Amino acid sequence: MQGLERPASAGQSQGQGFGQAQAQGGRPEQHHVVIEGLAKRFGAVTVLEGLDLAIEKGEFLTLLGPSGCGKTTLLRIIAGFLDADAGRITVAGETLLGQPPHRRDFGMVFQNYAVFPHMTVFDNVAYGLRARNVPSADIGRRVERALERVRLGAFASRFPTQLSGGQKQRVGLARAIVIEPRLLLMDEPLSNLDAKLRIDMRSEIRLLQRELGITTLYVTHDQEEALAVSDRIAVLDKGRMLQVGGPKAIYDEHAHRFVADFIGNANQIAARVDGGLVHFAGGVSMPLPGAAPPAQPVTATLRPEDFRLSPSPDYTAALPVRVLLVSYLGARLRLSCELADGASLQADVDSDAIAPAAGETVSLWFNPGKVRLFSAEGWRV
Amino acid sequence: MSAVVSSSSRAFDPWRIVGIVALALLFVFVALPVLALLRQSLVGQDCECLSVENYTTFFTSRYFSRALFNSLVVSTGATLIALAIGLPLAIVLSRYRLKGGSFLKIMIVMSMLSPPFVGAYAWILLFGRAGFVTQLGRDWFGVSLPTIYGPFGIALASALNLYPVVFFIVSGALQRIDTSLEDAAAGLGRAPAAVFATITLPLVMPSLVTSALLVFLGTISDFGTANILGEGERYPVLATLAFALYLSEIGSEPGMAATTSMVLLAIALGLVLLVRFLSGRRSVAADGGQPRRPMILGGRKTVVVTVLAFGLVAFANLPLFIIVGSSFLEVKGAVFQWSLSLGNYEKAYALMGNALLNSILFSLQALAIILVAGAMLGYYVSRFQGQLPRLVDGLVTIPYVIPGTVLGIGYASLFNGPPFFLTGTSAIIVIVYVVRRLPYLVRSSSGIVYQIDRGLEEASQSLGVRPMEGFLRIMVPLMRPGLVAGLIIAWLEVFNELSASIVLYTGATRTLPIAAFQQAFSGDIGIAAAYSSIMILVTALALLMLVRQDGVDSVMR
Ligand SMILES: Nc1ncnc2c1ncn2[C@@H]1O[C@H](COP(=O)(O)OP(=O)(O)O)[C@@H](O)[C@H]1O
Ligand SMILES: [Mg+2]
Repeated sequence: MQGLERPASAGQSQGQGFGQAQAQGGRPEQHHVVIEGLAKRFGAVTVLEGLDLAIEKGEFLTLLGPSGCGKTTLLRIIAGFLDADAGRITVAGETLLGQPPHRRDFGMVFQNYAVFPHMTVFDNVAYGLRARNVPSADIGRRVERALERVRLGAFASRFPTQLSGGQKQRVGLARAIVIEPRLLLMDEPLSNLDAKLRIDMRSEIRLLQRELGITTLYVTHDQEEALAVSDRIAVLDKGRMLQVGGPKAIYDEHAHRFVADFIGNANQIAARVDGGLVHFAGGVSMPLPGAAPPAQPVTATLRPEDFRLSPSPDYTAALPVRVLLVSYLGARLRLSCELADGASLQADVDSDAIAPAAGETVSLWFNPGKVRLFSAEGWRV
Repeated sequence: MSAVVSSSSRAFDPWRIVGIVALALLFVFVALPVLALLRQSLVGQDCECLSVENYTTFFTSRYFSRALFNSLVVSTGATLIALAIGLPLAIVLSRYRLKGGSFLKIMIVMSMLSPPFVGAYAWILLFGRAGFVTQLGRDWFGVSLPTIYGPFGIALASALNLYPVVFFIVSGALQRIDTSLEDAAAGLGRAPAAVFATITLPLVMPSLVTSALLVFLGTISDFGTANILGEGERYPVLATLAFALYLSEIGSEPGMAATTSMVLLAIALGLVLLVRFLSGRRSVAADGGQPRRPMILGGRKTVVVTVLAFGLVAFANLPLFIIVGSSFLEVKGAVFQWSLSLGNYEKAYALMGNALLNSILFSLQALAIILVAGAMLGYYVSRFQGQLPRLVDGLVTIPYVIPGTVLGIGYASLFNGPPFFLTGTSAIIVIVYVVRRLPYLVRSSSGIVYQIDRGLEEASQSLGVRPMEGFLRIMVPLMRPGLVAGLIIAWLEVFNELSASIVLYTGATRTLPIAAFQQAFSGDIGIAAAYSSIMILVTALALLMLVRQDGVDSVMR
């Protein structure tokens, strides 16, 4: 709840996200799925606290967070396999309270596929249709189409043991989409696949979702995956929603220090805001990018790629650092440095630049507009 | 991830109803009979008051305490003999590749599957007063062999019936030991015998203790063997004493039968709890690691080991051959003659009445209930968490350790009157079969449920299928191998059940094991052999099915 209301920038980025969803036909004033004040504890452990989230019709929304932050718990509550302690969920204006999972009409894709091992691929995909008493001629047609969509047309009569992991997950996907669910829930569907296949399949899933316009809630702990496929991303940490927004907003306009760190490993630099200036340790200061907040200690973030070794019209401020280690990464050089206060800092600079030697003290130039400031509690100031 | 579907907010949950119904039935058919016995044992001998008088009598009178002592002696003896046979066999068969190893395994199963009192009867045919070997010794060599009647005979017959339990449990444990542990010890310079003593034995110790416990329990609760080889009152043990007291107390207050039953139950439960406590403190789970490949022994050693192993198992299987063989011999004046005849079968058939039919009918009815209830409860107790499933799990497992005679006496005294009036009906026999053998199926099906990904059911539900229907369409097919294997074992046990049904039967509900037992105890030796052979035949057929299902290993594990 805090995550949505407190910082102005979070609200801003949410607006941006809605804009994207709107482009696909959703109306911002009537969300498809609304989650309000959801809370869940396991014994003494609070796993979700007062969580709010809205999903637009046809949207691909990703729930991103480190392992153990409560993503699966949230998904299972939405699916109906767990009961929340507090809060409510509505889908298309209708509350889900007390509705058992089999009446919710949500498709689910599982991390470990959960393909029925004693049924053929065809029967797996037909399973949900049969439960809906679809005439058998239609079942045949719809299953075939769904299998074509996931490029498994030739595998209908195979048993799951004869399939690879990626193929099994395609069966899981076909089985979930063939029932044309009101909401598609996917819990880390790619994390059991190898890296190359993961990248192929995530684009496949994204294309399929867009083509069918299925509202999708996708769970992952992989920030790159989230950035690549989502309309919007909801960042979760320790059961709190820190920020909801489009990939660009999440990457550039983080609402919380944790988001900055979790997505793209931003450097965290201790500083102090006072009198319209940001003072870094070691006596460097720069003018504040926005309106002046009250004087307070802050954490400033800058991404490794935000630094250069020489000034330019935008790169008007510099931090003096001591270079500890220079590693060659192809197009870039990574400088592992130490700030005046002993804190470490990473900078990725053009490998064409003249490389500093280890032990040398250099100035790292940056654009003050890229600096984000966070209060002691972690929220953006 | 291990979250369980909690259903607090849902109006109707079919599994909750299953749990409640199961709890109610188990309460009536497991808890109540035991409580009824407990109550009866605590009633004073001359007044309707609460008193420990019966227990005082039990522990001070030589008559009762002798039975207690005998029970402990016989069970300890049987346990030691079973360990002495089962452990070496397990080591040899899991470490070395012998010719005919799998045949040996089938023979080992076979020696377990003959009903225990049939084995006892066979030993009498061999070593009894008029036994083949006894006569041979007396007439040809002029030696009189030590008697088979009494403690040694009972312990031996029980052990030869139960050593397969040790064999299978310890073999399983030996195969699960990570070979690298033993290799590491050998690499550190330990000789093979030292490796075995310092590494292997401690690692299989929990399994060894468990199997010893099972043999002990099996012997102390067995009624038939002790009755036949102890000749009833001459060498009483708790199980036979309880039965005799029950018979003599019919119509009067069954105080001492109840007391004896409670003592027997207390020993069984106490031991199980003790072993739980001991093994719970020190868990030596050695899963993972590489399974051991059996080694091929060198020349002479192989021959010696093979001959020994086969000899031992053949000896244990001797009763089967003796019984079946002698059933085809002519009987004259209670002595077998050396001429073949089907006379025993003719006489057996004439006297059989409904016995075989009853056995088949009751067993099939019980099995149908065991299958359905076992599948559902096995699923229920392994998939759901909370008080109710735990309580159901506990109650369903308790009959595992309640000696059959005790359960039978409890049923007889509780269900005799209103509101049940079950005594003398076939229903009470079917119910006691179900209650005694349901644990097998609950265990074998819950074991399989644990291995099935919970996601499958969630997938089914998310696709719009109701939980019960999903259970039938997803879980039941996947649980099938465990169910089939458990069912065949339950069939053997149910078909051969004696200890409880002998307390509960009436003329109209007499079963084949009861008929066989009565003939073996005090009837015609030829008819007893014929009845026993029919039981062995049924057993062997079930065994064949089991082997064809390839379920032996999965059940024994
Ligand atoms: N059934 C449960 N009982 C107790 N704790 C649980 C249970 N399920 C999940 N948790 C705890 O809740 C937290 C969130 O778990 P989960 O939702 O699975 O996280 P994620 O999917 O984000 O990795 C974890 O700390 C986990 O240990
Ligand atoms: Mg998870």
